[in-house]
Amino acid sequence: MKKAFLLGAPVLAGALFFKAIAQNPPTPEQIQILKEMGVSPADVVVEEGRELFHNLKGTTGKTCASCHGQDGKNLKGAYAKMPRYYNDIKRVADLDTRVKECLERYVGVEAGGEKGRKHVVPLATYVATLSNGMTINVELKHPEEKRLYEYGKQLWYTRAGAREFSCAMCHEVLADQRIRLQRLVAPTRDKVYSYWPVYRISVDKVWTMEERIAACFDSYFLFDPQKGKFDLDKNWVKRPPYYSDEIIALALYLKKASNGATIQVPGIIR
Amino acid sequence: MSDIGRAVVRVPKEVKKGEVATIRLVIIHPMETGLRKDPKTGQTIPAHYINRVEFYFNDKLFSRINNTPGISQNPYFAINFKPTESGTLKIVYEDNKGGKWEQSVQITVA
Amino acid sequence: MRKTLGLFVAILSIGVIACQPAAQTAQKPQEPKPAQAEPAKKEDEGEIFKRAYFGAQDKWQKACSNPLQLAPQNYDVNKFIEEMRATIKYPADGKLIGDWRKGEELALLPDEYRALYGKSGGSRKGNCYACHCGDPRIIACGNIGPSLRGYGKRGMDPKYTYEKIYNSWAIVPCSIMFRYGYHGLLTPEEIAHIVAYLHDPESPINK
Repeated sequence: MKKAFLLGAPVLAGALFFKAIAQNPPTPEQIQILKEMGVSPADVVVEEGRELFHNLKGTTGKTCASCHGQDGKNLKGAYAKMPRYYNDIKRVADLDTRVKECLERYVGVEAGGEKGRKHVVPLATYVATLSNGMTINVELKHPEEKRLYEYGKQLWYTRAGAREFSCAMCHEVLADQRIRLQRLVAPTRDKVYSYWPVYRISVDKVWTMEERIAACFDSYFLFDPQKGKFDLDKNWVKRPPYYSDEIIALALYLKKASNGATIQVPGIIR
Repeated sequence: MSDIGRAVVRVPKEVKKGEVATIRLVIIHPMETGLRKDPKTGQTIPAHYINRVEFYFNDKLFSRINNTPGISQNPYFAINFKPTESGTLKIVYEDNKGGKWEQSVQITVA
Repeated sequence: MRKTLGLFVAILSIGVIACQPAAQTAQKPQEPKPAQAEPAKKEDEGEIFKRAYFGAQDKWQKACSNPLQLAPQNYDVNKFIEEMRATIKYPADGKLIGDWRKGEELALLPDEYRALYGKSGGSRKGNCYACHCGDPRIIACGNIGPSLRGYGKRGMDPKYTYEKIYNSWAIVPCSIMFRYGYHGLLTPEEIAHIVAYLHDPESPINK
């Protein structure tokens, strides 16, 4: 028997969401879907994140709420400034990485790799909603942040793989054109980060930006040069691992490009 | 993603007398039709879908949805209702494999 | 004894020379090391990815990795075209036009082929309709590149078509279209079949 869910927070989030739409319109698809539905499966994931935030205990005996306050009150607005440098892990971390590091160090729960995503994704989505209605404001103050931003920009333009893809080729040069019947999105021009993490209808899952960036690299047709040329069966290197420098660098580059946009998560897209 | 059967209900907690309120419900569920084949093994994936959603107000059943597996994953249900008194809205939903879950919400009618 | 020692030294030196790091990994772009490295597993996934991403870049891709994207930077364009042209290999029998039916199988994805002909076929290698339109029966076609409908009626030289598919950067440096033959995505014979798919008057492209 599942316990009853209270309405207060979801209704507030919903109300905030619709208010936020007026200030910073999301994509036409989003508006259409959410006007009709008013609630998406991503909201269930946010609820799960809320539960984990207050109840998930590991070897240290602490929960997220022990340090970050009931209902995450100390984390309000944190997502609006991420990715940023953190002194305890000594690296720039995006949302997913910060949640994973917190889980492993301060809660005492295994959170790495694909298996850890079952905790990291709901918690990350929940923490992101704590910044709903706020403006994205990524600042590059620490030298590591500046360095990683430049790295991310470099990656954005790097052409690699058997298809000579780069992020910029499809998402800047060819933005608004179509791969088959899918319109290519321009994340830097359209400040797309305002509605990520997002519910992807095509895969029926909540994706964070890490998943999205990693998924892009599947189509690059990257290959290990030590094994010779690209081969669909034998020499095809796919996505980078979660929480790697490349993903965080690109996330930083994209988030900074979305500065000024109002956060309204979770979004809902194809 | 989340556990099967987990859901979020959205309904106004306070409704004016005579006003119509919309109940929106999203449930995490794979909604397998029983017609799909696993691309790797070629085996048919057995049907696993929500097949009944019942709406009770103050323990009186006022609406029931009996559906067939034509609804996509993580289904969304919405119905309108007009409560005449304050009380508890209870939603009970089941799937074809015997899973049964419940959500309750307090509604105040002004 | 001395002979054995000499042989030993000879083999040792060959080993030392053979184990020099490959030249292609010598030049990496300004890649900063993380302040705190991830714990290394047997073959760290991150390392494999970096190798496949930066390490596998050839110098022409590097020249194209600039904010403009569609033109090489710090690289003489004529030299670029010459070098790309030099990589083009032609089919062994010299026939640049093959069988259009086989070309169609290479150009269509398995799902597209099944949708049109009801039997299994198609290939993931061509995937032409991701970016181009052509056969009017295929509606899910992209508009990245120009439509190829009626390609065979435009009086194009099949040699040009062949070279464009094999190494399109020999014609347009840093082109959006990637280099099928150069990267080994398609063999010269397979490209000849696709050339036929485009040029043959019986092909659906031209009907």
